[in-house]
Amino acid sequence: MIKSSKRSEWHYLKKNSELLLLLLPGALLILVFAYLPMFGVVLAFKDFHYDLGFWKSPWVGLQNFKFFFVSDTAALITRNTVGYGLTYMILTTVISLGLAILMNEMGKRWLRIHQTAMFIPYCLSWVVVSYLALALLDTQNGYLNKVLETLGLPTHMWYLETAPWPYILISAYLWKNVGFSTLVYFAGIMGINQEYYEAAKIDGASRWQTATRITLPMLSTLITVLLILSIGHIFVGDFGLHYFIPNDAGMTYPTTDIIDTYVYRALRVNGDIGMSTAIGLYQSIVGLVLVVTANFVVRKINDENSLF
Amino acid sequence: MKVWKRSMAHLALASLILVLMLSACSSNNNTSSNADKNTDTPAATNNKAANDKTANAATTDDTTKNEPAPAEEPVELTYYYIVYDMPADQQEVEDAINAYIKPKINATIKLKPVMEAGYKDKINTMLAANESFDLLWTSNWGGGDYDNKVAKGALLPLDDLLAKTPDLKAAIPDVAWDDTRVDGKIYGVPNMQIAAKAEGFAIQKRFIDKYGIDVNSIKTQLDIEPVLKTIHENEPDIIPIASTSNLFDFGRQYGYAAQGYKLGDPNFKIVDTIDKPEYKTFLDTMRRWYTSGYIYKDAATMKDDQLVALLNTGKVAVEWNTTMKPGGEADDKKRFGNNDVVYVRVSEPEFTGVRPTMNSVSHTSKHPEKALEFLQLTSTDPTLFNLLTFGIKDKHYTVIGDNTIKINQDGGYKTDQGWVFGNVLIGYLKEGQAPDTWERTKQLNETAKRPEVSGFNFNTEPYKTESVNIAAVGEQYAKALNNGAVDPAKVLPKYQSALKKAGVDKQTAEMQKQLDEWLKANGKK
Repeated sequence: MIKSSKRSEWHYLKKNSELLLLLLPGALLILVFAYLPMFGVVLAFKDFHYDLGFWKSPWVGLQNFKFFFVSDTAALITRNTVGYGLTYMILTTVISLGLAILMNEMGKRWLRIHQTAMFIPYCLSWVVVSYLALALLDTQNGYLNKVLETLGLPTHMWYLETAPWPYILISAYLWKNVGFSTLVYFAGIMGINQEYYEAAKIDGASRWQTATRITLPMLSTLITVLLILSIGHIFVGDFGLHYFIPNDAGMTYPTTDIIDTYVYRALRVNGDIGMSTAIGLYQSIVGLVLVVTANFVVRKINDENSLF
Repeated sequence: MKVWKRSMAHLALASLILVLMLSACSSNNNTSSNADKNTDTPAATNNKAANDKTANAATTDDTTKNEPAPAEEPVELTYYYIVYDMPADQQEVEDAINAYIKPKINATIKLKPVMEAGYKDKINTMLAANESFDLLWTSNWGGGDYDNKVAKGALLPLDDLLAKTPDLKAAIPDVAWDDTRVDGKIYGVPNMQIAAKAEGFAIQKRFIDKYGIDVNSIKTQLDIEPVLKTIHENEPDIIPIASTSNLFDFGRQYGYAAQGYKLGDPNFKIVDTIDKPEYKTFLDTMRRWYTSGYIYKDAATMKDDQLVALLNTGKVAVEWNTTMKPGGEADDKKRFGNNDVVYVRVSEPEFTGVRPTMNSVSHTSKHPEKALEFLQLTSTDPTLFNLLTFGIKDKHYTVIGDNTIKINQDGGYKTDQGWVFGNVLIGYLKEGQAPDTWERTKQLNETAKRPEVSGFNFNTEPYKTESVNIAAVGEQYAKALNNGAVDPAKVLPKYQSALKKAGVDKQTAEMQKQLDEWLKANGKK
């Protein structure tokens, strides 16, 4: 019995050898950059000294975690991190699904233009975008204030106010990321057998009906997989977005600060490897718990769609 | 699903083996190449010895004389330091330096300039990776990170090594060496420059002349108000004052020492200055100036590079300056868009120590003695110092007078950062600096008033949890408040309560304990 199972495994490997070979470089990269460094989490429980090194530095228990949890703003920052994470996830999914379905209805020539226009922001770094944002939001010379002025509306000191930032950050995030996920969903739609659509057309289904009755159900696996994956990132904020777009301006922190920016700011002066590792570990653990829970829930509802 | 899982396990195993093999290969390579190096010289000498057997006695003598030479192969040192502008001709200057120092100390140097913004991260990453390098620039501000690096064991104590470089020890006064000590040990070689600082204003000369401003009437920071008012009312295109950090020095204005005690207090009681009524008064004044239009509207959110660009336009009339170094007007003229500036002091020069710029030896250094020999040269040898600071003669600068040069702005090495490398007092003067600049600097260093607690430094380790959170709170509120950009009546109470919650009382108590111990040990209390 053992023999036969071994043979079938070997057969399986042989049959898919080309595909597995293609997978190998990616798997190696993940191993080197995601799994090997995991030993480093030990530092979260140590008071790291360069001359004592990794092994000999003294253990300090949970001391490195303390600074974050005793800070007055821990609750606020957690709220911001999770709130923004959820909003980004939900809005990106809804909007890019909608756009992907619309693109499916579009002529080839227009399609290419739209794809390119939507995809370009994804390639820009937040640092570059932050200068664009500054040109818009600058108090004295910003485009937005000039427009408000000509319209006779009161101008704002954007970088000193808290209220506008959720809207600004969410718009910036969507502007940058929707293009990419639209492409992913669009590729998913392209993979759906055209016969369904032809059959629906013959039966006289409206466009709305084809979208809700064929496209969405056929994409449900892809949607849930992408959702589960992004749930793991809810607790790991987008540092670039939250640091560069508000220009690291102090008065905006109540609505822009997330774990990543807070930790960066707190440790910028007193760069402590142990403390930074501790927060990284905390974020990873929460992320893992979220992914496993989400997967568990999905499996309860529909086993087919779950990730593992 | 099952097949998939099993094959994953195989794949993981296969890739793990591959990684191990790769790492084994690379480490093999290393050891074998090292072994090659080691065996190389004996084999060569053996050959020589064999040949010598047939030769006469005289040549044998020669080879034995040459024998120790291979052991003293020139050492290559690596030196990381901060720059604000990457020089284009770095390699060329490095080659010239190596040609100069190799016969002197039998070592070459690999210069590794790192841009200011990434300096601290780069050094910390290299230290964490246990990478071998020899020299690094350190300081008590910004990326230099001296205290923290000492506390974390990243730097070598230099006391014993300095015994072997007596010229270096002698070139720098003992007060300067003492200022670098942590728990009695020296971890940094101070770069000699201005070590006495005064505070005051840099004011564009054209406005002083135009409006007949009496600079002698400016005795304290708040006396600048009429100047700002005049400029604001008469020069609509000019920004009266701009800065990126705290606009003024609250402690100076109201008589608090940097450590937080009231000057003249026999008990040296450290207080939370943010909680004092004077701070509220100070902020109210700043707010009034801001709303009157004296302070640049974006001051609270502007970054350093934006300020540099703004100053370059020549549109800023006044800047708060916390160094007031002799000859500084020449540098500031360039910064202010080639407009002459006048320095107006509001405080007496005070010895602020040498910690703002030092060079240290990494604990990963393989040649600490050679590293110190190199620093000995940068502190005592004008030729090397000028090469490092100004580059190559007639290419990067031209000599225009007795020990005075003009930097070629298109020359590819215009960084002009003598303060990073060694003793600026042995270097060239720049166009516009008076011939007695270095004499005045030396004199100022010697005569400057010494603060009562000169030599004392806080050790943040015992209150690290509090200090990181206090730092974060400070970044949220301080800049906007100190520049008058927000209403102190609304924001100051929030700042104060956030500080309290971050543990400012515990920090103050711990600081007081350390200061008291130091005062007792030094017989001042």
